[in-house]
Amino acid sequence: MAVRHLTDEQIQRYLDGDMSRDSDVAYHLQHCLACQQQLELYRKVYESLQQDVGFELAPGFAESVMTRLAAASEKSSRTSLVGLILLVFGTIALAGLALYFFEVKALTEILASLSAFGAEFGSSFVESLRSATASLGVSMDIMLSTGLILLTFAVIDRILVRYRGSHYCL
Amino acid sequence: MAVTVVFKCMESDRSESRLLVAEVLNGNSAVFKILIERYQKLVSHVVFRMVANRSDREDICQEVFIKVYQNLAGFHFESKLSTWVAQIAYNACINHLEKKRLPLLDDLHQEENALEKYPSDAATPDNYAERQDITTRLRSEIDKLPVHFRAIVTMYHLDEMSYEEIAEATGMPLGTVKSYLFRGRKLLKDRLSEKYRLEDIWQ
Repeated sequence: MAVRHLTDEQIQRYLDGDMSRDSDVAYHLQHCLACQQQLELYRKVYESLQQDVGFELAPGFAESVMTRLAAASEKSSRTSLVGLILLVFGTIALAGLALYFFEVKALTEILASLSAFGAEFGSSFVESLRSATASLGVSMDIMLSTGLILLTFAVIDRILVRYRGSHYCL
Repeated sequence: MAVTVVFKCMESDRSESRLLVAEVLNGNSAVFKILIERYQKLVSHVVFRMVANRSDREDICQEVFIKVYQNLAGFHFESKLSTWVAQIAYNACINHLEKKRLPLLDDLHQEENALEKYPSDAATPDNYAERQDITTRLRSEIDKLPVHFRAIVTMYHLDEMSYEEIAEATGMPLGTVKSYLFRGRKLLKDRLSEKYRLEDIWQ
């Protein structure tokens, strides 16, 4: 009868501990020199795979990562501030333009119906905006596009912060 | 603060990780250093084995931890923290190798071809010192394995990850993980028996 040696997989599983309770494998290994030699070769392979040598990171590795993280979060908080400023100015610019283009009287009436203070605030805001624009001689097209650009930046900034975490600028 | 956190949670590894992560997410970023120290071995194993270029390795390891920090809020302990960290390390290495246009040998057919071409200088060493240092020799043989094989044998043998955990970290099917692991080890054994006389090993 031909001797059936253990397969590579059987020997590996034996060393992994998967087959240590398999008495057939253990029995065969006790009595077969060829398989014992294979087992010995595998033992050497396992030994070298388990050797934890040559993986040393520079001393102070953790500190370097912490420093990089601190620098990144400082940068990102600056970016969020820029985002906030963009959002505020963009909204003011667009609100001003909306007020200018729509029927000014109708708007002031709506505000007036809300409260006396509203009417006063509304008309004075529109008036001051108109006079400011007129005195600067800025065309409405430029105002509109500036407002839109600022607002777009602000929206992109918010999206990045939300989906990529607060440290996206890294 | 960091020290009290560590003492508070010695009961189990998993709940300890949970507490540490919660601390970091609550704004106590100094605690993150404990996580770095805990997982830097794991990360260096994966990165050093997968990336051959020494000057890139340390930088990739740092980037792995920065990614861990940035994505910590999105980690909900669906797996072990170590498995998730290993996954980030593995993906960082794959991205790095792809960027450098180094061959990844993703499909199995290519992998088979690579194994055929796998360098083997069959000459048996007659140098006594060389014969002595079988483990050193084997280590350089490990470095010659295809990159996925290296990643898997490392996760299994050095980081004691299970087949399931390796499958999760690498995104490979369980069967592929097992097959790569067995074939990788067989390959190393074959190299060993080609290069050394039996009596060198048989002591």
